[in-house]
Amino acid sequence: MQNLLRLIIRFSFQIIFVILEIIALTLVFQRNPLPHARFFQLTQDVNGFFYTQTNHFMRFFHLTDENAILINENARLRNQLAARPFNSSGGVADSTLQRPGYSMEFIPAEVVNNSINKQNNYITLNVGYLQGVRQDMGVVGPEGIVGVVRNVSASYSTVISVLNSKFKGSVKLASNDYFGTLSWPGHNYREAILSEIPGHIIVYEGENVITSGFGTMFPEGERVGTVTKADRTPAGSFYELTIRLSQDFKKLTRVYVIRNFNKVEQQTLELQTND
Amino acid sequence: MIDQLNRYVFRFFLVIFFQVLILNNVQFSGYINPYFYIWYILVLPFDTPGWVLLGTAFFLGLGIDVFPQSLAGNGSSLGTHTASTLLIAFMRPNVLRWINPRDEYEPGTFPDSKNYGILWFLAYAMIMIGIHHFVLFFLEDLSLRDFLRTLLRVIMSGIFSLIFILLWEGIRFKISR
Repeated sequence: MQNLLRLIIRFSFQIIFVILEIIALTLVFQRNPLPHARFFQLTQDVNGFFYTQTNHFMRFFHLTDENAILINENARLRNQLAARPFNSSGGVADSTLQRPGYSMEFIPAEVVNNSINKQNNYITLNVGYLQGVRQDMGVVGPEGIVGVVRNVSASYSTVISVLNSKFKGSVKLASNDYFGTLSWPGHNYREAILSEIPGHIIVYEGENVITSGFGTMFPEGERVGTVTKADRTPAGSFYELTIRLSQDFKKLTRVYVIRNFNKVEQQTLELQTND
Repeated sequence: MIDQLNRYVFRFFLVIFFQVLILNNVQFSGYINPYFYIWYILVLPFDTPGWVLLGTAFFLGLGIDVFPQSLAGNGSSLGTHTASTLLIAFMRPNVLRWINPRDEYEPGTFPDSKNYGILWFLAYAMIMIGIHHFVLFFLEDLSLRDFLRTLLRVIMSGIFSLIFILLWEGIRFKISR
């Protein structure tokens, strides 16, 4: 007994190290996200406060870029407005009522924290539960899609960025409506992969990729990027397209969270059909 | 004694805030993210008891871990800084033994560039940063699939961490002089 005690004291440094390291590695390899999610909700508001403060300061340096992007976005919206089919009734109708599938609201938000250099990147926004943000809502930036809301606290929310190995989005080729899955391979913050496009069609370089409108996160036709490279999968029956993302995640400051009013209805119906 | 303790506690929080609020927002290219905070472990006094050394490293790493976006419900990232910082704290006595200068370390001194020279500190910091970044980035990646790319991240970030730590060593001894 005394020998054991002496042994423990002699190797206390090693023993403490092993115990603490096991605790740390348990945290690393723990796959169950629930404790993290809960813990995160606790620290989120504190973090959000700090990030907002630093962000207020940092935003100054991006004003010029920011203006250019906003001008471009305005121009694009004007073009869309101009291209809208002529409304025969003549009045200013509420377009959300005419197309029930697209009754969506865009909640403007500011990015208060963002990363691009991790394997799994996340974005923090300064809108939360109180502003109507809920889990699994889509997020778009001025130049293209950005991600999907993951956690929501009272006035902050975190977003799984497109630059995250967990992100999967349904997108399609603008010219022929063939759809596939968008994912991020993890090295270049400007490039993503579009898979499951059948191999028998012809894909051109520079072709536009837009959201498919499937699911409830994004409306159809949000910009995603352009095709830069077309590889075939080893089996040859599908393409693996390299997409240059239209949204530059390095200068992301203002985004919109998409709230779909028909989401619950659509999902309930789909759930019934699956039974 | 109490005075010194206070200084180390204050420095502990300062290092975490500097890392989380400033350096974590530095993203030069996809590869570089300097980690300055391990400087705290490097310059702890020689006679720091083992359990204090390990305990400090554990909470320092945890402090870095709970802050950044890496936590956002991402099970694979929480704990990476804790694990790697603990490891360098554990290795510290050995590393100090390997690279000890011709004479033994004098009692009452600190393992920093003022006491043992810039070259000695450079070697010391390089070894410690190397171990730390290697473990950190491979734990973050959790696979050996992109071994070379992760290795490149280790080297690039390591260089910048080293620069920050050396700069700070230079600045603080300039001030105190």
